[in-house]
Amino acid sequence: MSAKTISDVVNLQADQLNAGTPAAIEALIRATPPERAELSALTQIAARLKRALAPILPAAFFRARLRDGLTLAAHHQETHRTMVAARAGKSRGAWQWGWLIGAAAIGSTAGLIAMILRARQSRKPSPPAISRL
Amino acid sequence: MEAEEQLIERAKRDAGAFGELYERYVDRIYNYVYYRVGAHADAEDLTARVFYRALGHIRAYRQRGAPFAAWLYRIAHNLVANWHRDRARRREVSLEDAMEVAEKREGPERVAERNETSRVLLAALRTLPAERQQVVILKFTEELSNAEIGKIMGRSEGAIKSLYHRTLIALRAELIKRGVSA
Repeated sequence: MSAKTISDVVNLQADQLNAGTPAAIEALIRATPPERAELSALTQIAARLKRALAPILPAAFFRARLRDGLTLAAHHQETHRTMVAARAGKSRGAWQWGWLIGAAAIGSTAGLIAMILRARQSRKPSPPAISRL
Repeated sequence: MEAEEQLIERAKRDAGAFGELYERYVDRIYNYVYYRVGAHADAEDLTARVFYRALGHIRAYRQRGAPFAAWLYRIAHNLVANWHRDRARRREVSLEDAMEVAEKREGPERVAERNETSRVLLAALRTLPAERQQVVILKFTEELSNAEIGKIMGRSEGAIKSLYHRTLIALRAELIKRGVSA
């Protein structure tokens, strides 16, 4: 029996241990004399491991306390994120107002200059009329 | 039950949804950590750290074929590895003494207090490399298939199958070294 076959058998046994039906694999091991000792040793260790690694539940108090702690931390995280977003929105708003005021100032200055220029132009004396007399 | 992908997306901005994810996985993560460290107090501390870290990074989490549990197990695996490293650094006693101390502390052995075989077996398991312990714990406590374990550990199904076989061989050698007949 090759190493691959031994690997197949021990993996199959693990599945059967999890399914609670290990009997079938024992019959298979008994039917393989050349590697029986090797397979028997490995499958026995696996069966003991399965018994030793029984699922353990965390204490109810610990479970509840950790959940409360996580909920609180998640709320803090959310609040922090909201505040950062609001601050970013505020500064964006300030920038927008700045641009608006700047544009209005530039616009009104340009208008004022145009008015002054027009007024100067209208005050200039008109050139004397050339008489053909 | 809400689909996991939707719950994860919700958990990125909703504390309640993260709480639901926590309820789904806390027992599994605790179980895994417990068998890796061998004491309730340490398992509680590390389980808490796993979930706080997950909470801190959940917005960056992206589904990439592996289940959400794989991400949590990976966090747990890294924290347990750091814990073992720090502990080894702190202790000035020899590794053998440390093992003895670990065996005397409250641990998985408590489950089978009078079962000497289980005690020795779990102590022997904890001397194996981390990935070998992981494959056995996920297989027998979580009852996961090789394909599922492969997704968690980032290995192929065939690699897990072979790793499990090699783990049993290594465990037998360790038991023989400890004078226990395999």
